[in-house]
Amino acid sequence: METGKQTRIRRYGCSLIDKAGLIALASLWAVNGVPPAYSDVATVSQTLQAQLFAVGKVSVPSSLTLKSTGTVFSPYVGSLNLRYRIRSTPSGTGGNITVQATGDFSPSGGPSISNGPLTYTCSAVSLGTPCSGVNSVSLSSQTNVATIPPAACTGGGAPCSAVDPNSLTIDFSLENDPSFKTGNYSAVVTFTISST
Amino acid sequence: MKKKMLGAVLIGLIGVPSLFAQFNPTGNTTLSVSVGVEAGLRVDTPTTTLSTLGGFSDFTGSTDFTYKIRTSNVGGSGTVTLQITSDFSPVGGPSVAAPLDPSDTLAYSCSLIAPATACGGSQTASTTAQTSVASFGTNAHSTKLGSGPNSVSWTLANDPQYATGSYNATATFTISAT
Repeated sequence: METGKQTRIRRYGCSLIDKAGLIALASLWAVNGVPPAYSDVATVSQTLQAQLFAVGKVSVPSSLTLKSTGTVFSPYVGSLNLRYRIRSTPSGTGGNITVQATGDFSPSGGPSISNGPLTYTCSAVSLGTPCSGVNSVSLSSQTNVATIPPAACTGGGAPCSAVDPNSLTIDFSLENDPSFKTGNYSAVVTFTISST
Repeated sequence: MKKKMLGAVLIGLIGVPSLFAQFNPTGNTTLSVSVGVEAGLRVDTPTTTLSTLGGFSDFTGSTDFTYKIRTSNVGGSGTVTLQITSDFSPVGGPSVAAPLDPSDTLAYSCSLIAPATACGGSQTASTTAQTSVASFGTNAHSTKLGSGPNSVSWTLANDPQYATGSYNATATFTISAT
């Protein structure tokens, strides 16, 4: 026959005495690293081998709105934060991040990348070297955003970067030409990261 | 109850869409821009000297300006106006607001290049109201560098009652677009 207290305890699966035993057993196991019930020790060696290849991945916001700075016919500008993780081999040439317009602004009548009005600058790179000066986004070719040196890696501190993920800032500027028809326009740019 | 709330919070956090996409070898960003109506002008003649040929002929001179404009392609329009925001001074000479004689006006005519339509005929400048210099229609676009030169040709009556001396007034040009 069980007391009322015992009945309440057993609603949760086992008695307090059972729990105490299990906790003690687990504690001994945790401290010693082996099950306390066994008296012999077996040592097993296993070689773990990992082959790490050069790899890079980027992450960018799905959209960015370019806005006029307020003065008359000032360019439309916007700042994008690109995040990336990369590992480059010591024997390789490093890596790079590029950008290319994979679609011109649409609909027609507004800005057009083929006319060269979309430019960008790069800054605040946490790993690597940002592009220099003012660059034009191209529809036909990838243009440089950042260069990553050989033997670089993201996160964990030296010899890798301290931050994870790495990041850089890209400031876009779109010419504000009076010839553009009023309306809403959009274009897609694709960032690509590669590593060797 | 606490466990249920914690679960709901966790589910809520998981359900919040990240501002960033996942890490991939490539990433796409859609650049969006809203091109709106805009207008601006530059006065290329900061100081316009009105001069006379003598014999009490009118004082004349012209002010050049360049404009940039983009009006809406649906029902848009635009204007260029001017107003005398500071009357001739010192007193004793010409005046737009209080001429010595009602016929002593400051008048002007307009010469503009497309897509502007110049004001017609002779206009009388005012200190109390903006008067027309040019107008624009729907879907009007200047050139990238600005359309010009455009000019306002001034005519100021040469009243013998004016005291001799130099007099200055300020005309303010305003451009607008919808």
